[in-house]
Amino acid sequence: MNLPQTPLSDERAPAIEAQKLHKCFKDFTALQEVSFEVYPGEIVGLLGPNGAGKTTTLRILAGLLSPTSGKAAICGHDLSHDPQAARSELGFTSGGTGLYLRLTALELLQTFAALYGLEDAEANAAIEDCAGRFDLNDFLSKRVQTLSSGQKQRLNLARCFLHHPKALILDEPTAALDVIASHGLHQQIRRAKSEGCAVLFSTHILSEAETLCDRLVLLLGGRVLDEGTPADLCARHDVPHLTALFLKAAQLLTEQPEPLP
Amino acid sequence: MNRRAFLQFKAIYRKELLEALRDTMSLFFMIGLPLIFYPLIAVLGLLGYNQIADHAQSGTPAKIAVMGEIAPLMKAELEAQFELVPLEPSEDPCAQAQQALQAKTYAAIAAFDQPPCGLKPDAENDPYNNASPDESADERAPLGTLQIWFDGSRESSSEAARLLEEQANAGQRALTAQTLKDHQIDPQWSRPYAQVRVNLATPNRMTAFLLSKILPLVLVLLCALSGYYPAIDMLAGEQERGTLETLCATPCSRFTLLLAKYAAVVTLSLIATLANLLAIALTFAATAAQLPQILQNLSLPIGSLAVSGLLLLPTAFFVSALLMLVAVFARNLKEAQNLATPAFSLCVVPAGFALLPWVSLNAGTALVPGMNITLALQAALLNQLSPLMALEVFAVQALYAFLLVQGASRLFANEEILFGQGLDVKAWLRSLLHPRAQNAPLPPSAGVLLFLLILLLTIYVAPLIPVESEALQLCLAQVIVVLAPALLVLWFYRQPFKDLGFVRPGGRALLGSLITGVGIFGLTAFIATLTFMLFPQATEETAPLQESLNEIVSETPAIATLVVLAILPAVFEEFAFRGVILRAFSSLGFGKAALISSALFALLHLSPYRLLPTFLLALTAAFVFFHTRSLFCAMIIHALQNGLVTLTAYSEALHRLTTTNLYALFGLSTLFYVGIWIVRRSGKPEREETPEI
Repeated sequence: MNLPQTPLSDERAPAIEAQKLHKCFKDFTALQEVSFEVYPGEIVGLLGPNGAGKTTTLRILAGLLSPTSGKAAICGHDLSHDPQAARSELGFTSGGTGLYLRLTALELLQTFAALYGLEDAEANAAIEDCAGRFDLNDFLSKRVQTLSSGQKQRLNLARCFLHHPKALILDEPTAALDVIASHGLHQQIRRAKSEGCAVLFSTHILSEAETLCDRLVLLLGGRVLDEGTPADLCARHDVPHLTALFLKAAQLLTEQPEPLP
Repeated sequence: MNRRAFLQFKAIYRKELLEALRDTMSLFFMIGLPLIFYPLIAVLGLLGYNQIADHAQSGTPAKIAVMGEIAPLMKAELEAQFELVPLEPSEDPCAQAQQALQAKTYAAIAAFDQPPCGLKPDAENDPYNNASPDESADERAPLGTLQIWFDGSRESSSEAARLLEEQANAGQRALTAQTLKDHQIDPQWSRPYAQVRVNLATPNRMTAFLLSKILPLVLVLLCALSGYYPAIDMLAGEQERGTLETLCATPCSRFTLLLAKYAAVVTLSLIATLANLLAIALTFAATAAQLPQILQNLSLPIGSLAVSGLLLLPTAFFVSALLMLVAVFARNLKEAQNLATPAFSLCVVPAGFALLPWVSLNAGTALVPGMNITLALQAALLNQLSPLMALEVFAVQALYAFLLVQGASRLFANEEILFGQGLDVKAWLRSLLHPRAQNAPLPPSAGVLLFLLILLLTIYVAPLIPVESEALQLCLAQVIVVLAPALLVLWFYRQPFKDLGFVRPGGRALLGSLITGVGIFGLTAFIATLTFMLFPQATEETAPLQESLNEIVSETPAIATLVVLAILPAVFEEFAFRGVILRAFSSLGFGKAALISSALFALLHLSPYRLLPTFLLALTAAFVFFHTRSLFCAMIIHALQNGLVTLTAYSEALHRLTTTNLYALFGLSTLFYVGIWIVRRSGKPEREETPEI
């Protein structure tokens, strides 16, 4: 499908690309014309109330769902044409992601290393690297079911980094975490950014979005309402902070149940 | 599978096994339970048996009431076994006896010369019929009648009556001997032959026989049960725990993912089944010394058990595939269980039917999943399973498993089912009733449907067609069994008739087909002759076919014979198998479609000895159809093959040539390659026009 190319504000090619995504489930339209990009070394937050289409968007970008129309690509690989290549560049995790409880942390990492196509030697090196980076060495040989939730979260994140992904998609990663664990996660996300990784994540926590994200994409009723830096967004909509923007958007939705213009 | 896919396959397989084997509950059900279950059953069984035996030996003898006058010799015989209590008959001895038996005062009652009670026994040679009281003067029954009254609703009473009858028979013989002696005749006269029953079956065979009564069903059940939990846990369980999402976001293809999970389920199911077999064998060995007398001499038929173990492989393939197919639909364990139970019954119920005494393993029952394995296990235990039959069962199960895995992988790739709103059952049913739009390509399910229809009609309807003349029967069978279901499927899937390949072939295609047809006849005759040499028993199986062929040839004019035997089957079968079934599978690619449709065609001939020739014929027809895009060419080949076989029935010399001379046949079969070469050069298949074929 030949869609008009969105003019790029940046010279670099986007690592995560959504172009006019449209998704219908039976007779329900979940997404309409959703377009945005995430560039290498950028953190983009996907914001929106429940049912706005955040999870559907992320699932399409992770290759779990295919769009009814439109294009999703990771590092230039179209997910509908070359899903394997696209997923090779991608790390994905969601807040609800369970880990395999009866495996040890090491076995879990080994399984995922193989799934990302790493041969034994490469895999061992990658696991060693990630274990150091995410501080897993104390519990590598322990079964996942005996780990604390902070340890599980680090393991879950380490799992996405084994193959040095160029794009990272996180679906509400901090949903079930305490303050300390969230802080650890933020640090890792910033570190990934500094290494040139493109990060896209969805969240409910507005303060998190405000401090962490370079840009925000605001979803409402399956459409992109607006996008920009947190400060830009607040200025453009004449609100003091993101919470106010959010409330305004929600109000907009109730007043105007028809799709937004 | 490339290196990377293999690596991924291995990782998932290892992960699934680790997870399952570390789950205490699964492990207990898989290995622990059988190791406890069988010894427990054996110990309880032995305890029960010993108790009964002890009671029979040491317990007080059963109390038997005696009504009427008893001859001293008879009394002596009965007293040897029972405690006899004389009972004075009242006015209504029947009612009196009924009451006494109900009150359990006596185990049974021996009534001498009493009026008949209850329903008249219907057996003609019943002693009572031969000597009713009013015939008491008859010479045949000088001493009168003996009725044994018992309470059939009480086990102990029935048993007492049985013993009483035996003992009374001994009494009868003693009385006869006495009478003969009184008349100075050698008592030997009453029993001219000394009679004894001897079981000549070897202990091995006896064990095999006893095991074949129950073990096959137990094994199939166990195999199915042990695959049950892993299958639904690996798909529905992962879905429920939210781990499937991350797995699917890795660059591992869904097919690899499913295949690895499938391999893990098969492995676990086999481990569990082998654990069960081992537990049975160990229990048997441990309790052998304490077994009751009749079972004491038994020994375990290790060879048969080994074959049975091997036969469980395809069972595990099939059951695991079926359960996985079902589990893909479910979004959580509860849903999966609801769906899996009917699927589970689907393979266990036919397995149960297999134990009926009149059901035996043949080419037809070999096609019924569940039943075929049970029957094959039974035959294997009795050492009656021919290698070809085993092969057929194996092939059939493997084919079904393959189709199921294909289906499961299709569903697994369907995002609506995994991450969408789930399968819309109503929409699905609606689409079944009003199938797809016109011109939509025929789906593989259409091929499976037609195969099943033809199979069912062949097994259940074809034998019911009245046999007036063999030729007429064959015509009718072709129309009812092959043409009708093919038309039905085409109508159901709204397929336009003109797209099926009724294309006039070009000159070269025609020539190539004619030569290929003669060549394939040579090739199949070569294989058939070789088969008869290797498996002489095949002659017996194909004899009825040869007979009916000869019969048709002798009673029908030659032209009509050729129409009935060569042209009609060629036209109808090609229409159904190449026109519909091959086309239905064509979305899998020509190679796979040709292999599947040919395997189905061969299976429907219901004979393990004809599997290979019919498979080759079908494959050739498919190949020629693919290259010429004309169904007529496939029909020509099929008609030539059938027609030439028919011709051999006309000439004894020709018949001998085609059933004995391997060199001549080999020479003839070289024509096959020539024909194929010409067909291949007759033009490239134009994929644009008929993208499915």
